Amino acid sequence: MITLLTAGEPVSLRSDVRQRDVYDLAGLEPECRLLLIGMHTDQIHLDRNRDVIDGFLARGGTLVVCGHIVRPIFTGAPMWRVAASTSQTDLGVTPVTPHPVWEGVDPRDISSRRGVSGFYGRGGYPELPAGSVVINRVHDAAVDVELRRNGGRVLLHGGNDLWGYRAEGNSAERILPQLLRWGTEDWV
Amino acid sequence: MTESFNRREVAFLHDGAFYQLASIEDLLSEGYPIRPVYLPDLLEGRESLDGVERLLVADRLHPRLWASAGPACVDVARRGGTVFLSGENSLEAVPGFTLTPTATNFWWWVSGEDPGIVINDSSDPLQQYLTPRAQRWHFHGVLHTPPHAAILTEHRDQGPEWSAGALLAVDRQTTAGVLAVTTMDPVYHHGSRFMPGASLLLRGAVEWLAADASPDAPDHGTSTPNTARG
Repeated sequence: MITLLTAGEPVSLRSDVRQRDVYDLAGLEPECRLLLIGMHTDQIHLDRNRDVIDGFLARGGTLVVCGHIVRPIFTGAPMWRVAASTSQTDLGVTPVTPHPVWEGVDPRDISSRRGVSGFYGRGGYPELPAGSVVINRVHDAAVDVELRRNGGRVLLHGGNDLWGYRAEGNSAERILPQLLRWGTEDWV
Repeated sequence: MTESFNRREVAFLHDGAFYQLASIEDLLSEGYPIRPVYLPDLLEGRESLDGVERLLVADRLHPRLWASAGPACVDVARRGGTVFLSGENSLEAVPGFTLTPTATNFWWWVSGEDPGIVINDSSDPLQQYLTPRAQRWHFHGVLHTPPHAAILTEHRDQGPEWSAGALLAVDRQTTAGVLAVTTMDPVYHHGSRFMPGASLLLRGAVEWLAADASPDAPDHGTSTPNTARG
């Protein structure tokens, strides 16, 4: 089961992605194996209910978090920091490690819109546990990261929701389907 | 937990989104007298608006939670307080105001086109805290206001996607206090570290609230903006 945690506004990603209000987190089904957390969700509520997400990870789940993590929403969650520079010329996306979710995505297509940079991210996660993989950087900041935590897989995007690129009109549209494929790749 | 608020203290209603938490952290570190009020705790009685005289409602609150809390927030103005309501929230609880969502023009400053945003030269104290840049960036809807409301910023009609209406208005007559309403979302953009104009609007609104804009205040309408900040 794939679940998208929302802040109350419906977001239609794909027919098999169930939507769950962040305030109904406690009822998360044990069958959920891929959990997507949207950028608008209440991080105080997530922090207070950290045991739910820790338990999800302990079951071997895959967690994707968009937005800036500013509260420990799961045990050992890295904290977002703004990049050392957020000037327009410094906010292009630099690929670091190839990753299935970004396969075929032209970095130029996520670096700017109409010549303006900064939509993709303006910071990232400077302090990461050993073994974390930095996928993309914005200036000095690890904006996309994959790590292991509490027995599960975690993918962090330190910017607006990755699924917001699903109608971008360029190669960035590959991100959502590739995210759902990567998140379910070991399912039988 | 209920405790009385200081005279100049501004309650900042939020629901834990990262950009709200970042804005709160910034404002506190810059010395603004805000007190965060966490919306879920308010609804469960662990927080209270009793005694609150100045209230800033953050933009983009959870729709169901905001629907439950809206009337209590408007009550702050009904008992003589001052409320600044940020955009992307329903106006169901706000008397006399209606909202028409519009498309959003993020690009006028790149393309060089006229965004059709008109800043009126009002004498309203709130506007003394806002530079033109604080009021002209983008918006997500237009307001239809009570006839007596002061319209500080408005949008000229530019076709079906861009209807005319107010973007920032202040109503000092419907309630005993003051209701300021905008369709701009400064907390989201400031807390996302994204848009300088949004940061100016946020700081200006907090300065106005903290400086005392309530109708019964001795310096109502004559307070001097603190231009040292922002």
